[in-house]
Amino acid sequence: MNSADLLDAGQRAAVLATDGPIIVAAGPGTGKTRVFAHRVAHLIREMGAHPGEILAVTFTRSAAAEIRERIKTLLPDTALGALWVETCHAAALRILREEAYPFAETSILSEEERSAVLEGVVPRAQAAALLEEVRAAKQRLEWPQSAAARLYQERLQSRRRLDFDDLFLYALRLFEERPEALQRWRGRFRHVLMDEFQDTSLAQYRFVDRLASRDFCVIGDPDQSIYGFAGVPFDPFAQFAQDHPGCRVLPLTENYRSQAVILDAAKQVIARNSPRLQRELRARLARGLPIEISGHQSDRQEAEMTVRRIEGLLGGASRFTVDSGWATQTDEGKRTYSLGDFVVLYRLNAQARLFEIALERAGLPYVTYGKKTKKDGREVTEAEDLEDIRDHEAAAPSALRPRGESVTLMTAHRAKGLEFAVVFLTGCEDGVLPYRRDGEAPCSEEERRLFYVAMTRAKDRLFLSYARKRFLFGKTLALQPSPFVADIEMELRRIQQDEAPVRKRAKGQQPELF
Amino acid sequence: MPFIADLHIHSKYSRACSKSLEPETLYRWCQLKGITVLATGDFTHPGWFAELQDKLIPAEAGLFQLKPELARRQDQDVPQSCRAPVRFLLESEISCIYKKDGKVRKVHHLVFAPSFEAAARIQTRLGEIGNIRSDGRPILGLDSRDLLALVREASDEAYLIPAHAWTPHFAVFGSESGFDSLEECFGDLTAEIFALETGLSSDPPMNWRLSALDRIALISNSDAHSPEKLGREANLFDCELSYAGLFAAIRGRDPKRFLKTLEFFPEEGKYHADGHRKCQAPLQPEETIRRQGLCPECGKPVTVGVLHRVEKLADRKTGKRPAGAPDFESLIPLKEVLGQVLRVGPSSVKVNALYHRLLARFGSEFRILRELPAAELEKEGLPLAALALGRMRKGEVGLQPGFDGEYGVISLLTKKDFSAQDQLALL
Repeated sequence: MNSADLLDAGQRAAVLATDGPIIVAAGPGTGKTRVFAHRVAHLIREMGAHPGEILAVTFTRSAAAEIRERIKTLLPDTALGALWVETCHAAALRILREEAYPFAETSILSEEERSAVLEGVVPRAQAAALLEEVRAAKQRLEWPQSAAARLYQERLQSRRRLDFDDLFLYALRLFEERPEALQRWRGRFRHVLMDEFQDTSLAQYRFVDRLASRDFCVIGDPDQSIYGFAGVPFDPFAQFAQDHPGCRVLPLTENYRSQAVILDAAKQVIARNSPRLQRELRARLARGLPIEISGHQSDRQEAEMTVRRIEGLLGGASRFTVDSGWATQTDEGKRTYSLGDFVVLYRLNAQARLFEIALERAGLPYVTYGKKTKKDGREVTEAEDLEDIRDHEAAAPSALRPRGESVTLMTAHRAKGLEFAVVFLTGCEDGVLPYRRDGEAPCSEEERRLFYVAMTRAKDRLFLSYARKRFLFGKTLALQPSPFVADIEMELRRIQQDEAPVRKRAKGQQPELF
Repeated sequence: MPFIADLHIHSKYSRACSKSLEPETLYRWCQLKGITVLATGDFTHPGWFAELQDKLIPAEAGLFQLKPELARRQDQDVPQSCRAPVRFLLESEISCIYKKDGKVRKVHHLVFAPSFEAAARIQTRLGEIGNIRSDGRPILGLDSRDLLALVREASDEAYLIPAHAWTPHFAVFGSESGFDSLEECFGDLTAEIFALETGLSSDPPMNWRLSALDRIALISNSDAHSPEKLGREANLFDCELSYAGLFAAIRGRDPKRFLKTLEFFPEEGKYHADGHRKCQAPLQPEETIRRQGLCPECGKPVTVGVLHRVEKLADRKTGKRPAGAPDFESLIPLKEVLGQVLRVGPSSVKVNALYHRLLARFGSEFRILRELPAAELEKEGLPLAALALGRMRKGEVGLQPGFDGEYGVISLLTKKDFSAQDQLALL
């Protein structure tokens, strides 16, 4: 069977277009991973490419593992040892190691070493800011300039270590210093693919772009770009178009993941951002049940009600919940789910705790991804919480599945690229999602994209919730619902009143109609 | 000497369970009921595990007893007629919720351990996988087959037995989220399954309709959520009083050692027939099939009960007792019998007083239900109780089956019995 069979027209076009630079504009749930794997299979089986001629760049290690598995399934009889399916960082490190550059044995600075390197460079309180400065400079492909940053860099060098962002600077320097090496690598990788292109930094893009020749395919969705503030404002799609005049844009438009209601609502939310590429997305699944939006008195109540909803959708986790009628009351259509079908998403890791407490009380197993506490047990600060989203290499849920299913708790950022039957997007409050640091204006286009990414993780059911009162980083906040929620038209939602006894409202105050 | 064992209960650490489920109370109630070996329940729960270690001491191999100083205090509240030794055996129930072959599965399993060390190993492994701290019957996202492997790895003498195998929502053969065969559930490890708990809503003849279960021992337990419910189903053994002796009797299916199971009338179980509790609409399986599984009141799919499910999976028209299978007896809890006699609720003060009077006079509940000559009750001035017990033992009972979580009603007496009695009173 041809590997392009079983693909829709858009997917097939994206797989077959191997004769020049292309952008595959892939909306959520349109089969991006499928296209990626099929394209590799097509190159090898149909185009006669040797696996060693292909460089396939993914965003995370787990994505790399998944793609590799898929390719193996498509090409069961082909030896794929020479095929590179790597994250951008891993590809750069591999090349530097093979070239013994800049050190005979290149290795990455560990977290422990980093503290040692920073010792005495700046006061501990300023360490995060320094690393931020270093990182931002390197993402722009500049060596950091401040005295402290230079001292940091010197110490790295004397220890013969690289930090993560050094990888691209050194790789590009290698290509400049040793053009013959670049020629060798370029000659080798005749086919280059790059996934999650919207979240590529300038440094990463330049590195891969140097390696790519004529067949250079980038896949991504500008509407799902959510790591912008991690580096510098950079639009990889515009850059690609500029560097590759005449490149073609091939859209994937058919969404096979979400019920139509969910996709329609997500489209209504993202429509307020101006499109950067053609934005066309069609639901291929049935309409489905409306999106439930619920407001709560407090973050605590939000967590309790979310867990109660999970119990309901499990069809009762215990005989108690079944016999008390608790489970069936809330369960429409008798469709039941198992533990691994649920994800609770939130903006900040700090929001995880109340859900953990509620799940604990209900006796339901869960796994939380992301840091809430540091090694010494202290809670992370606001800055560290935001920093954590860059930890792209975190274990993906699939990695832990063999040990048994559980409810997943993670930030919306981490959910990128994943899908779940039932998504609870919590903390939909103005100031939390979109997130706004004290006194700062929110980067609302990016926060809106994050909201969109979170919504489009859902296959069957989407629940949005907000609290009027939330305790966050030592402060109790009085909050209003997120403006993003208001962008979803009434027809697509079902509103849940506050489910706990409502305290008497102040005179004249209207119940909010969210 | 034959003895009775109840191998599935819960502790105060399980959700929706009585706070009085403590070792001392269990010890006392076992004597009132006539139970010699009682499962501890909930050994996976760290709090209960610690309490058991604190209050029990080793007895016969693999069995434990309440510390003598604790036992003495309880003995004051046990009538002389009921006093007897009580042994505990380490047991826990695990709720597995997971997806297999594209379907959500929710299956409960009993796990037995021969020692605190083996129990601790199982506890540790499960603690790494999920949350065992908040419920005595923990919910894990673990495949049944993997749980079985884990249990068997913990000890050669640790065993897994599927719990209340037929109940719709949480059982290996359940209509809502179970399997059609043991093989589907346990795969390559199916041979490790040597017994099934039949649950309140099914009895041995129903299970004998499946030839696939001919090699499987059928056990019956109370799954008690309060001390009063202990032994409402149980097993009668005549074997060596030890952990190994008990399991050898179950596995060996020797009717000389595993004598019989003591059962509910299955109609009394709360998932025997089909139907909708909310709509008060019970249905017999043939009716459900005729109505294409829909409730006559609300039109939504009914909860399919145990009888229907057996019907569906059975390959025999009627149950035939396989070689080696123990006998069984169908009983009704004594308080329910007395409630019918006194025409008041089984948990009323009147019934309670009479119950304890009878226990003090004649011995444990099982002795009264199973052995006491009916004439003794007549002598005691309770001719209707004598009549009721006689009918129960002969199986001459009126049956109104349970459905969708509602217990069935087994009637022993009719209006006529009472009018005769009332006329007698007029003389």
